[in-house]
Amino acid sequence: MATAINGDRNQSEQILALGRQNNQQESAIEVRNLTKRFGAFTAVDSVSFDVPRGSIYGFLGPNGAGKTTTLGVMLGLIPATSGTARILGHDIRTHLPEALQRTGAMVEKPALYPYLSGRDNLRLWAYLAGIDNLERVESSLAEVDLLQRADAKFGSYSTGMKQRLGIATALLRDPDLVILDEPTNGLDPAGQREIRALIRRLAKSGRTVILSSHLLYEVQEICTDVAIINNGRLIAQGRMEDVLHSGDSLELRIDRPEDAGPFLEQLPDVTKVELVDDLVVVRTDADNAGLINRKLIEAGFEVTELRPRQRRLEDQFLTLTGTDRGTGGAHDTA
Amino acid sequence: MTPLDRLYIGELWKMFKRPMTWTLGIILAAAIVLIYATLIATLLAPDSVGVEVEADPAMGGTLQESLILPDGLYMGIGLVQLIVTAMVIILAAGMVGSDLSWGTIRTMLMMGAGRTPILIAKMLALVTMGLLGMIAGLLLSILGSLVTALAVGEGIALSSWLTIGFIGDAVILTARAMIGVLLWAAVAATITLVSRSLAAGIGASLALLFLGGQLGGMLGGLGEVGTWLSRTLPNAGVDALTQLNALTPPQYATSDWVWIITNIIGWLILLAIASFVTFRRMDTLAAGS
Repeated sequence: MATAINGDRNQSEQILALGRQNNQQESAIEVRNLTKRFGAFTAVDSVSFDVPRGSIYGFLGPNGAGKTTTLGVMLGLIPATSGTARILGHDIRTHLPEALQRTGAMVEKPALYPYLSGRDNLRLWAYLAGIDNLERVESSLAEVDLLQRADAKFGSYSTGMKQRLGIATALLRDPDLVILDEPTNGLDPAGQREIRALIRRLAKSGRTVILSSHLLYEVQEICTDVAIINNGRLIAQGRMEDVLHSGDSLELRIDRPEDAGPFLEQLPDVTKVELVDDLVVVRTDADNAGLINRKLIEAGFEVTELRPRQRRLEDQFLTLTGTDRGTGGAHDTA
Repeated sequence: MTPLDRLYIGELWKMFKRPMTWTLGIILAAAIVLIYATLIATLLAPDSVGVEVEADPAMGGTLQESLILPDGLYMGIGLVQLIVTAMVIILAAGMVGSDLSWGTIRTMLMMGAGRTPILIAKMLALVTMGLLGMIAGLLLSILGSLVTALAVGEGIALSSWLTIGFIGDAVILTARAMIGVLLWAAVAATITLVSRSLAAGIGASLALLFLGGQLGGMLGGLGEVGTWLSRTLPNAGVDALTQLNALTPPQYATSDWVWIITNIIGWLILLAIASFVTFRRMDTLAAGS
């Protein structure tokens, strides 16, 4: 895919504006101008976004884009250079403990004690979090299907079991907000499917879930909202369907597609026309659909189908991040 | 129960559950048993090992007298303090370094624990473990002294040594030793935290523990300036303090007490500041990678 970066910048701005419109609703997280510098290197550059309550929010970006650093700053693991975030209404600069009270998170990898059993690990974290009801330990273990192996040492767990116990730790406080950083890392397909089902269950129970992932199909499959970060800057955010539609392209099924191309290119506001398989893809504002349809009919073309082009998240991601290296059907940004 | 209480109890619980703690405990016990067994063997067959067992002014008497209670308390405490200090250095570095390398420090922070309470809880737990180690070691060394007495045919005769004065001495000697344990725990924890390396924490602290005296001696050879320089070393204050635990302790002048107390308090404050500042600014995401 050959893409003009300038055109993508406009596209990125449109998506960000759309995201802001949608964020009029109550947010579980509000991030404003968050910046994190390590010496001369800016890992996160004035990032602002809102995570709607009850959403499954995909946080996407290539490796080193600044996803984990952003989450780390939000969770108080790294001090921010500037900017702020509000989690469930609490400013993390002044009320971090309150912000974390109803938040469960697993960042980078499950970080637990290898010499303790799964159950003992959860008991310890529950105790430290002030949870005296050990039922929460058992229900968290049940939620990730680990009751059978709960008494085995964490160090002896498989990668998938470790991931699940990490998620169980995040669920201990029955949180309203769950932040999961690459939760399906290292899992086999069945394990990945289990985690995705778990995330859906969490969202169904009214929780807000942030899923940081480099697995594009995973994000497209389960997330309702998405933010894309690249080189520390947020380049797109909003409802998944808005981000996918925001290419502002139309797909037409038409007779004589070869003749339609030059005709369409002469129309106002049409920036590009491509022939993809037997479809004509017109890069223009989706609001021009009526005008284009009329002009084509007036010119004697027979239009049998006209719809906004639904892009795959992979296409959108590669376009926005400018990381398309012509790798074909790769679904992984890593 | 406050968050600090929970962190403190949590740290103790983790240490009791950790195999390394029990390994160190076994090493402590084995070392004391081995040393007393060797000394008893020396007393029973001095010619075979070629050791002088007659009166030694530095020890305050014969080897037998310095092993048997009540004098045996002084030898026992010195022996236990050295082993427990080394043990606490390893525990301190392990306690801080493991949480960084396993990333469990992140989980603690995400559970809402504050950074300052985490460090305070760790230090309190280390001191508690050091105290337990000192008490267990001291009881073992007293047992060693009693076995020595039986082995040389002296008999136990509790009333001749188990007095209020003896118990008071044991408490004072242990308290002095614990000041040293606290300082060395702080040294190991701080080096581990600043270097983010468990190996550096253990290695540098043990090197300072065992070689600090020699370094101080060499500096002392440079004259008055060298002597004052040697008094700035982190081991100097606690070494001088624990010399009071000998059977024939040195007599310190007021000026000596000034530098000893300044050294100990100064280093504790310095190490606390270095630890807290480092930890408060620490990128805990990078710490474990």
